[in-house]
Amino acid sequence: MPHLITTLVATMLVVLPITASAQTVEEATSHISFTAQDGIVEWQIENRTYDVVSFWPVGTEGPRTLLIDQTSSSNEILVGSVRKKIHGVGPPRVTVTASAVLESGTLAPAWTIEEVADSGGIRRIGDVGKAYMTTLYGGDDLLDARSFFSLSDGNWLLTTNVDPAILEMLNSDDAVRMVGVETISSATLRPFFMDNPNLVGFLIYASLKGPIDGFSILTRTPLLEIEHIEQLVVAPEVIWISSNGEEPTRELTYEAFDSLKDVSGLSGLTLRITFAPEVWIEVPVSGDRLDLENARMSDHFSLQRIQN
Amino acid sequence: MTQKALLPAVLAFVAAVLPLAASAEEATSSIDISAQDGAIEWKVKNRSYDVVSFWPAGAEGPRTLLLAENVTLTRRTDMDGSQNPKVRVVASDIGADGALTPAWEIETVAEEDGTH
Repeated sequence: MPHLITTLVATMLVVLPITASAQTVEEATSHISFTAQDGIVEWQIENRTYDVVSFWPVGTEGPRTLLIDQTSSSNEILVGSVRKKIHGVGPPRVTVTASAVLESGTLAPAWTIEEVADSGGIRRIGDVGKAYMTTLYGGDDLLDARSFFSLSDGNWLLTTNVDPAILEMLNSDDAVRMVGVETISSATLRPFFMDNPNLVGFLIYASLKGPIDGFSILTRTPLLEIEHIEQLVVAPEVIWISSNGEEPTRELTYEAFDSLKDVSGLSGLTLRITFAPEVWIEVPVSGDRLDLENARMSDHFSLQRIQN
Repeated sequence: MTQKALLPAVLAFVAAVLPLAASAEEATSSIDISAQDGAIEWKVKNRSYDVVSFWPAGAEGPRTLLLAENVTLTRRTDMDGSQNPKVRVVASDIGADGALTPAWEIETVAEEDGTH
């Protein structure tokens, strides 16, 4: 009997460390199918892929690790040399299911995203930030639309047709801000452009938790009555101008110090949105908000704050 | 009408309704996550497909390729970078009849792939 107990204890000692760390295995199938008839080739793709991302959520004391399970689906045709997206099985779509990876290696449900988009993946925002980004390709006529989502909870941050302007403060708790512009030429073809003939686009200022502030960019006369409309349907450049005389730049980085703990304390910063040399908007950022009162712009524009 | 007499009509109907050519490919992606020495380790095998169209220099028309992509890598939360990252791409020309013709293959040390 004592031998049996000894054996049991020994077995438990061997087994316990093994069972304490679990293993999680997931798998899924990607597929493509082709059909051809009368010179028209049609294909449908569904890609299933995985990624794991570690990040430090704002306001938490430690990093978090997520399993990202991504499905992207699309449907296109090729007629001679012309290639076109079709919506026979619906628009292209990216679906993301995120699960928290616990210390034991097991999973807990976190959040999901479903977005009309061609592709998606984790993207670094500046030096320290991360977000999930989807891209809807615009082809020859429209501008690619990139949408960013929070890794903390899957919240939408912003959609932009331009490389977002980044502001970050290293060694700060709430370190990152990003700014994007979505224009009337966006691949999203959002219907509210149709509702307001003066609406050129949106300027959105966001943290990695969600949008903080935003403006509708309006023309003073209806868009279709403007002589050089081509200047307004391009992707503008968005850069930071600092009052301390540094070179204007798309990515601006500060170091936190005693009197300045986070980006909300920054002053003397202005966003410049340039559609063409003489078609521009300048918006100061103050107290972590876009400063509408002190915004300047060429004669083409007016701005209107987006209400929640 | 006998079954024999119906057969040509059925075949003609099927030929008119069904596409001239059809093909499909599939591959399995997987991830293996485990806790090891206080860190998380994951081994990824991502298999995906992409179609890319481009106009080769000097050609009279665009060329459309199916890219079958295979990314494998291992990472840990307590280490920077990947262990043994590898990207393999197998390209096939897509014909006007939907038929696939082998074009080229590459295999390289990398962590991600893409055409955009």
